[in-house]
Amino acid sequence: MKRGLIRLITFAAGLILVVEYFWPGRPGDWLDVSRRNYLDFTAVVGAFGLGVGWYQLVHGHAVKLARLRKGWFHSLGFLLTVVAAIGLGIYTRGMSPEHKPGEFAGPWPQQAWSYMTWGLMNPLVASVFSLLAFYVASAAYRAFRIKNWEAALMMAAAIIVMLGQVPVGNALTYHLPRWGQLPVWKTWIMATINGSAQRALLFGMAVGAIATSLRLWLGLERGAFFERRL
Amino acid sequence: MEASGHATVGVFLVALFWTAAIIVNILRARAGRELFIRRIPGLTAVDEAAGRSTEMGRPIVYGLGLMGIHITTFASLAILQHIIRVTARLRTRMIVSVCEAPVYPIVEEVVRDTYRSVGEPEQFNADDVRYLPGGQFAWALATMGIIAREKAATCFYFGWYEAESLMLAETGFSVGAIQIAGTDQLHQIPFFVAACDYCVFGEEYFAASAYLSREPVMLGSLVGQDWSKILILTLILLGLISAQMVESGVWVHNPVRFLLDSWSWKHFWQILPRH
Repeated sequence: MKRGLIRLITFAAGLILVVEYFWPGRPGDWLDVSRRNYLDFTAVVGAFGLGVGWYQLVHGHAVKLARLRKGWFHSLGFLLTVVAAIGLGIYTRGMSPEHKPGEFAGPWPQQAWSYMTWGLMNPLVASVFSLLAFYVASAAYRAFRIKNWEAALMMAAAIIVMLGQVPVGNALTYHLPRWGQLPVWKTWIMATINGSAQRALLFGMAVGAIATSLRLWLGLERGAFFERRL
Repeated sequence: MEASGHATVGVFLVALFWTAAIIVNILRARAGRELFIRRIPGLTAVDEAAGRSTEMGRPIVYGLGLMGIHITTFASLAILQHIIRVTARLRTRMIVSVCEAPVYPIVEEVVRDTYRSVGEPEQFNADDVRYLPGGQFAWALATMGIIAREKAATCFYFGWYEAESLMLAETGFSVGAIQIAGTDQLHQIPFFVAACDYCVFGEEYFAASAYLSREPVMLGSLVGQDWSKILILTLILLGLISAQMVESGVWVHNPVRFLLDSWSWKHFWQILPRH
């Protein structure tokens, strides 16, 4: 009974979007309006998920702090930051219309919020992103080994593309005829060979995604969604 | 989640064939027909990787990726369930990290129900399904911290990944974990291939639930999917040829006469290299 009800609700929910997509209607008709209402409803339901997630997070850290478990000071820092960020965010309601990113002006709650967002959060994200360069170098050094002809071919293509992307590659070969210039080779590799392979992958992914969506919509996907018993 | 445009008649017909192909093959599978599916090394290694964690006495870390309620996440959940079924029997601890809030209650429910379905409800630990908010890099750093502190023996990365993919994989490598990754993100495939032991990408990612469960219905839908792919490839090829014909100006209103006319073919092959 429960499994049937789940399948029915899933099918009915998906049917709205499927009918709207295939029905030869016009923008603004009842199907279009239904779709927009449906998407708004989805956003509202998703917001409830936000509450559940935050409850679990705050509860877990609060318990750790209350019982002074190992690393309790991290939980204290987290809870204080959450209170400060949420409090300031609600008080300032984000940014005022005349406030520009990077400007630390206005009353003190607004300044504090700006410092927290533009002065702390954004630079931290940028710093972490910049670490990626070192990770790429480390992974490339470890992974790129010429063990066979395929690896050699890949290495050659990688060298051509990397040199073709940077001004050094252009400087090295600009005096050569067009067919010998690294940027031209790079463009050809990326557009012709790589582009074709990417399209093939995308094609397969799209086919797989549609098939998986169809299985979910029709209730054919097995698992805890539909209470499969082992 | 805005719908992108509206279907044309051609899209409707292809979708109709697609659905029919999947349903027909599901019915064939239910009737007992044996359906072949090729080996996917990354998915075959899932059981081995989970067993390694048990032997080493270290936990498994499962990253669900960045996306919220999306088909990529649902495909990842199907794989997560399979891994839980394997690890529950082996009594191996699994830590699941979630980035998006709307997904968190779904993941928690799926994990709890899967443990219950294998008769091990007491193994479910709500603290091991961790909601790690703060965006892409905050989630990635938190997950990297979990992998490093817990010294994970196995790391699974199935979902929507972006720039943080390599950072996660390198952290897993640094603690000596066996890593299996799967994503439908084209640009992260090279990073996962370089840094992980096994990689499942493209269509294989969405075929994972069918491959791991080996359920006839799921395999049937995979075969139906392949039939649809053949149809679309045929249409692409026909479209390519006819586009060449039209552009080269050798297309005539009577295609039968065109096919039989040797002069038209000679002209067609002369024009083709220019395009």
